[in-house]
Amino acid sequence: MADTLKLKMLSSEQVETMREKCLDLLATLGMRIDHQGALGILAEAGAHVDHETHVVKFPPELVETAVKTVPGELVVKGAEARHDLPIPHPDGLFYTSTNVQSMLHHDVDSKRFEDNSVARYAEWCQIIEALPHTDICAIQTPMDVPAESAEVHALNIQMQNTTKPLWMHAFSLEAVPYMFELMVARMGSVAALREQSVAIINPGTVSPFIMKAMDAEEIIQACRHGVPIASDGHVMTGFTSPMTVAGSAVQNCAETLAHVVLCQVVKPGHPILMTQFNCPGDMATGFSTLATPMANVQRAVGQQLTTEGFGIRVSGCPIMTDAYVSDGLATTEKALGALLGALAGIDIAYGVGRLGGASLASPVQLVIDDQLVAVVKEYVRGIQVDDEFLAIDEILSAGIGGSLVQSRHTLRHCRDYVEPGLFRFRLQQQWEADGEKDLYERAVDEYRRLKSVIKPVDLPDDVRRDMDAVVARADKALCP
Amino acid sequence: MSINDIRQAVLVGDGATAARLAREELDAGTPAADIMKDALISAMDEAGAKMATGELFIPEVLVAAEAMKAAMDVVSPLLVDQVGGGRGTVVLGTVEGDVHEIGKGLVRLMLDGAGFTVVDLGVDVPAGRFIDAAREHEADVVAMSSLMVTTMPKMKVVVDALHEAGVSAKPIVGGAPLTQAYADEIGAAGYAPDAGGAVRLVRDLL
Repeated sequence: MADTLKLKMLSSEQVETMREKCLDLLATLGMRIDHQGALGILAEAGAHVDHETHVVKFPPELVETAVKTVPGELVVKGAEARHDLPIPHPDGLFYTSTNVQSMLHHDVDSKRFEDNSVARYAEWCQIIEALPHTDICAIQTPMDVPAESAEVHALNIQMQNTTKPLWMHAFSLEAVPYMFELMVARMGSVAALREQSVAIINPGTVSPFIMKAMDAEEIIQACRHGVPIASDGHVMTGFTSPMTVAGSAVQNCAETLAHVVLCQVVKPGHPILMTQFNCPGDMATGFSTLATPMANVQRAVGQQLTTEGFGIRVSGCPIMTDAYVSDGLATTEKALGALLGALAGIDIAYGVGRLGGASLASPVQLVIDDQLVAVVKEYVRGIQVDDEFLAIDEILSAGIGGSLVQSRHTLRHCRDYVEPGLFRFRLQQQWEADGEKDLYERAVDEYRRLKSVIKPVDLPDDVRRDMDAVVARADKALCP
Repeated sequence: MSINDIRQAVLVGDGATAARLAREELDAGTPAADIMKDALISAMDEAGAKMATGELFIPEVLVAAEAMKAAMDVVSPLLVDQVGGGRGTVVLGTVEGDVHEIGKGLVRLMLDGAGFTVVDLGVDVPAGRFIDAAREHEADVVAMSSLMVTTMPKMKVVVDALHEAGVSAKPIVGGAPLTQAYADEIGAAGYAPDAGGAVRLVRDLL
């Protein structure tokens, strides 16, 4: 068995220093938590709660106790057990997720961004079901449903079109109960949801140091329903956190640790990952950047701090780009980010299908990224050094001037490093004969092929009815 | 020493020098209004233009704005026309249900630096507070921010409420999920994709 390649961004001493600073920040500055229930729960657990300002200060021993109860192993589950994702990855690799919230999809025919819709999102989820290297389907925003209940509609679309695990979060506090009700309807009962938990819940801080009521409620409900959590820190370097890598990584870690503490106080041992979603602000425009070198370095540093400093598994967003089209820039940024994230030991890598900007996605980029991550996995898989892999007998057998192409050893290993179709070597003559297509054009072909074979999940009528009924109730309650 | 030296001091963010030179220029007989217009506002206009092209970064523009303020403290007591900070009044806030501060805060700093009077209502601001503040401060513009698809519809609530209340302030919108098309759809007077654009938009509207 090969050891996967790993990269250390920090020395042990640096990890320890940064770890201490995380604890200091939570103890001295604390976190504003806009959720009365969470304030009560944390006060009872020993946190110092100011009920007027809603600021909670976390004694280091409370954080340490919480961190100790976080499981080092967990399983992210979809609606069907065949898609279960044990973490750590059994081969030392990583899983992938698509991106949240996209309101615009790049249309392959019009070549323009068009509103995400029920139909587009259903197709998106079905493609994910068919892709071999995309493991988790993240919630997006169909624009042809009521805005107030858009996430409930989106979750319904996800569950009717893929059985893979779902990356899920609400867009408003009021929608949270309907999201869980919908998951229960999909699985048949609360007990069934606990058994096969369908999703991973993704609360995110409002940086600096604010936990919204919606996110606190999501954490509490996830604990009660047995659904794992991936907590995001949303620091924006240079704007809501320091302009420097170390300071931003520490702040991001401290903010997400507040989620961890709430989670472990509500239900000790509940599975939770800490997510590195750090985005440096662009100093010329004030917008978040997704794929700059600083963004990816900062996330990789955060990964090591999280895993080594706190022993908590880690997700992040290395498969990102700031490009608005599926061009060379997009592929370059995503490859570099994914490689660094993988080397730094990420468990779930997020961003498959994402383009730049606030909310852009592309089904063709989804197809490209799915294969790109397969390539990245080959870089970090590591090598084996034993008799079989050294193959000294084969070298001797071929002798001076000999050939190994006919050997059984070559036959056994000739597919060890084969790249997926879009990235595979081809002769120039073949490429010319096939129309001299570039990566994007070949991905369009693959996208069209997938479109011809995908289909919705075959759900029983009564389950589909129950799910639609939850959506209807949400519409009635949430929409004016 | 010249107007241009004050301008340069502002552009490089040297507030002490800008203030000293402004005092010397006043002592030399240059009218305060000329210093204001040709040195201070002109410098910030140039800073804004350079920011739009990526030549200047936001922190550099903000430090220029601080330098401008230092010089303004010297010049403004001698200005006759002080209405609305000289350029107009903007009521600003993140709409109800949305607690995102950063984009809105950036717009505040940039407008402030460009010489507008800004009334910042903070985050999670209901429509009624926008209306009340616009009336109270006789605002020229009501600027709204939203970072969430679920809170975007609150912008239309404010636009409609301004119209129904007969408030003449022009509503403008911004935020990551916003588009010009959405601004048009809800009847906003304008949309800006970033903080620098917000300054240009307000300037164009007034």
